[in-house]
Amino acid sequence: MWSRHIRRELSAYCEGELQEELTHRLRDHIRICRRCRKQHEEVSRGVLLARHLRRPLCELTWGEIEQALLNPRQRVTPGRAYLSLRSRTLIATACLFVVIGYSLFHYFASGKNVDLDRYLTQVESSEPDLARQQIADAPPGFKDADEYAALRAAGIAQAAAEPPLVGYTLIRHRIGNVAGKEVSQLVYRGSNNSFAVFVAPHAVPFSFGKREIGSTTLDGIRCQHVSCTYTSALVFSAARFHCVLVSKSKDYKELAAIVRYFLSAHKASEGS
Amino acid sequence: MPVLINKEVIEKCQAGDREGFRALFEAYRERVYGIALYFAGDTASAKDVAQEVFLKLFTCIKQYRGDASFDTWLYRLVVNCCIDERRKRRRFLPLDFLLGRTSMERDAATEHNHLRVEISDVVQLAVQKLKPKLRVPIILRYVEELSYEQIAAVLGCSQGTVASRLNRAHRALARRLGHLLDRTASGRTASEKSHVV
Repeated sequence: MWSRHIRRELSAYCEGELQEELTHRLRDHIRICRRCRKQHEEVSRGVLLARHLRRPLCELTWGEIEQALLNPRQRVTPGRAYLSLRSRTLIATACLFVVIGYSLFHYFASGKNVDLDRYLTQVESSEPDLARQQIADAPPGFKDADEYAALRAAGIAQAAAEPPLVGYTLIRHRIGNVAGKEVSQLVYRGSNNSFAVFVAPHAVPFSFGKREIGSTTLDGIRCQHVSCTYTSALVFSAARFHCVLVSKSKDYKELAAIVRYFLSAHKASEGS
Repeated sequence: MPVLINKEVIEKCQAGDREGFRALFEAYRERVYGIALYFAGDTASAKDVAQEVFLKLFTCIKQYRGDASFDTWLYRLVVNCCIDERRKRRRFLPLDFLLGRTSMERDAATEHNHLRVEISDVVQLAVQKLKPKLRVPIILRYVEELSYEQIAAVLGCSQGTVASRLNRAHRALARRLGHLLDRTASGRTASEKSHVV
């Protein structure tokens, strides 16, 4: 009885390459050994598949060989397109530079934009400055500090009582510090959007860095437009104040409504 | 019509006779190209390898001393050239993915799409995906129809090693393409049934 497993000999057995005696012994073993029988089935299938291989038709001609013999360095056939290791390294380096360049560009470009979301989060997490701020000197154009403070308080009270757009509420009003100057900041939030309005006396100028500023007419109101990629920033003036509206909305009707609201609010407070 | 190669032709080639080279080329070009194509996978590379083999053959034929059979000597040269070429090209990235698939793959895919799968084409592709160590014995056995003894002589190893490698290659093919045999068997049964009906 053949007791040793016969994995190595299975191919030769399937192809009739073994001697007759060995073939008989293997046949007996396969009959009794389940593991070898299973492998034999697998190898038989492999042999059946491999028998489908056939020799391909040759496409090489003597003329090509002769040509190559005459000029050994030149290959007759065009060959496949390949990239050398050096080219691959160069391409990979170039790709890396492009990615780094794009990231840096994106970083600096986005850094120039007004990040309203971040600003709003900061404003919401900070304590509201409801207390009347003591101002030592009144800005030019105001009689005294009290007049300035009264006007500011009146404006804020009106802004809180009646929001410029339906569905928006004043979530914060505070005296902020923009470039070392005192500026009133009013932040409104609606269901889908938020906007902020900075109000300061004309004596406190706004600075927009190197951004382009152009004049525009918004629904009949003359104002200035500050170039921002993702936000709308509008500068408008009312009596002794000037304001900056920063909003993610690009809807000009909505922006015009806000500007008109603040202009009329200022006129009303000046009148009173 | 195959050209018979005898000692005289080889001696002519060793003497640098061009007609002798031509006779040798005509006698072996299909065998050399066949192995190269199965090894390289596409016709352009196969032509390159076959060309390289013949150039090497014509320059090195003086080294053939007649100890072994000329066929065995030549097969060894072809296998070595294929392995060298593969080693050279491993350092390169093929741009086929930019240009599209190889003609062999494209043909197979087209046929597959038309539900006319030629088993031989699929087996060719599966053989090309085997490790070189398993691929060479399969090519020599089924394309060149060499015996285990001849394969062992070409590869410079024992017959037991050849048997073992073929065994592994057969099992790999069966695992990858066994379903094709089931399909053809079921197809045949269905067609037989339809004939009966």
